[in-house]
Amino acid sequence: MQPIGYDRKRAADILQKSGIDVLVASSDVNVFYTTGLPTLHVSENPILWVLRKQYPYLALIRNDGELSLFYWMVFASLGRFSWVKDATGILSPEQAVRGVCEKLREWEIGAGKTIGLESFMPKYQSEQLIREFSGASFVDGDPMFLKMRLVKSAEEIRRIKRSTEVSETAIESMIASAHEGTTDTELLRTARRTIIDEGAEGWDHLTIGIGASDPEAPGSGAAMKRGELARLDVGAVWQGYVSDVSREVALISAPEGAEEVMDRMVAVQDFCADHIRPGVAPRDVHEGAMDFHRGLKKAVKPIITCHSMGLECEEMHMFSRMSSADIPFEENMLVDIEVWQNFRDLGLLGIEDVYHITSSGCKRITRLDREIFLKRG
Amino acid sequence: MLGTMATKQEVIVALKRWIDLLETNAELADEFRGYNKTFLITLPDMKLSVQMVFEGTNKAHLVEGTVANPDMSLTVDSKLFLDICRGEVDPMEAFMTGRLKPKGNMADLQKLEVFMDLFEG
Repeated sequence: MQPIGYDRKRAADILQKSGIDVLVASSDVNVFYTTGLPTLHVSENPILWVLRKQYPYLALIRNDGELSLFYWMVFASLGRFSWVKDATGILSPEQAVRGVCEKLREWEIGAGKTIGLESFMPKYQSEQLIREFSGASFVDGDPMFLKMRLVKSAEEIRRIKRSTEVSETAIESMIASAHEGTTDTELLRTARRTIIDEGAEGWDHLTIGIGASDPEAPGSGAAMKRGELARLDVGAVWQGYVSDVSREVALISAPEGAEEVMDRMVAVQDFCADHIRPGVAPRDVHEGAMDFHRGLKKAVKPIITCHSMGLECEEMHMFSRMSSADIPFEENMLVDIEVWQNFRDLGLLGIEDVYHITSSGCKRITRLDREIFLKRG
Repeated sequence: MLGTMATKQEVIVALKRWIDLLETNAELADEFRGYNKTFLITLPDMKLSVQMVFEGTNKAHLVEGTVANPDMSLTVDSKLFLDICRGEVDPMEAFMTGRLKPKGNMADLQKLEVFMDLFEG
């Protein structure tokens, strides 16, 4: 079985350049990424994630890219999901950590060696490793996992594209179902049903707001009215991989001024896409985009964000108001470009789409029109 | 070192400049149309609280004293506040480094940032 995104040679290069002898994966996304074991909270059956406290999953990545996996031994379908040959079943947290220690000794990891751990590793696991390998150095392994995951394989790109299609279909279904009096609870139900009907496992996020209601906390019962905006921001999960697409819909007509804002946000999004190329520094694109917007309208400071997409929605911020990554864009990164501004007292108004960075530029994957959708019926 | 009254006056003058800008800059006023929110600024070193009340038009007014449940609030050292108002300190950077402690909806707070930007120009 071929890995989905894990590339043994790339992993070995990253570990050797960083001086790490072995990297330990303990989070759902990184164990899934390195081994294929279905550990995600949105899986066909998320039982491994649900039972992770009783039966933790752990993966070891040696600096030649070799893998070893520890997993709940009741899970009998490892061969259907994982490419890891060296896999050991466990039935308790103690057994899992003991197994990891034994494997590290077998790999001659000891005094003078460097072990990378995830910052989200459970305390009992990291404390035991540090205790048992007191002569080794322990370093933050998070950046290594990110470096591996930022550049996508053809299969990962296929999954993110399909996830994007499902998110778009969910948005279209919500638009089709919208009428005066439709509540955010009903929109949520429509989105969930569509995502499942499309064959996706589930959703990463359903950020849905009507009028001034908080889109981060939908289900308040807020109802659609004529002339009011609704934000439909969806991330479906397709075989583990997520997307992030946002559109606005209004009944009959959009509030005065809203279309000008949307057009401006789209222009800034286009500016970003036109300037993102392999080798370009993220900070330069952000600064250029802010300057570009300043030329369009001074009285507003937009929120412009570009984040990597993959097993997590905001895998890494390439740029945002808060920070910029100190690595250049690379071919086959998949990113989300989102541009927002606060509109009246209705919260954020804007757009977000998924893009594929190719050798010749940044191509939009999302196919939905970039405008405020008007529902007249 | 500035005396308390002088510093208080500087703060009030800075906030009144925001109000003037809102009244005279049509583009800015358009962005604040329909915006009826109260922004509470607390300067503990001066024992001063001031509310800026946006009236949903190109008008806003100041009310000295605190208020329960403002839409947004900012607790800040008076010098830092004036530095931000003068465009000498980036408010987002001050927030990210923990020197600025705002409360409220991030989108609302971000909307106010434009006042500092326009002063820069």
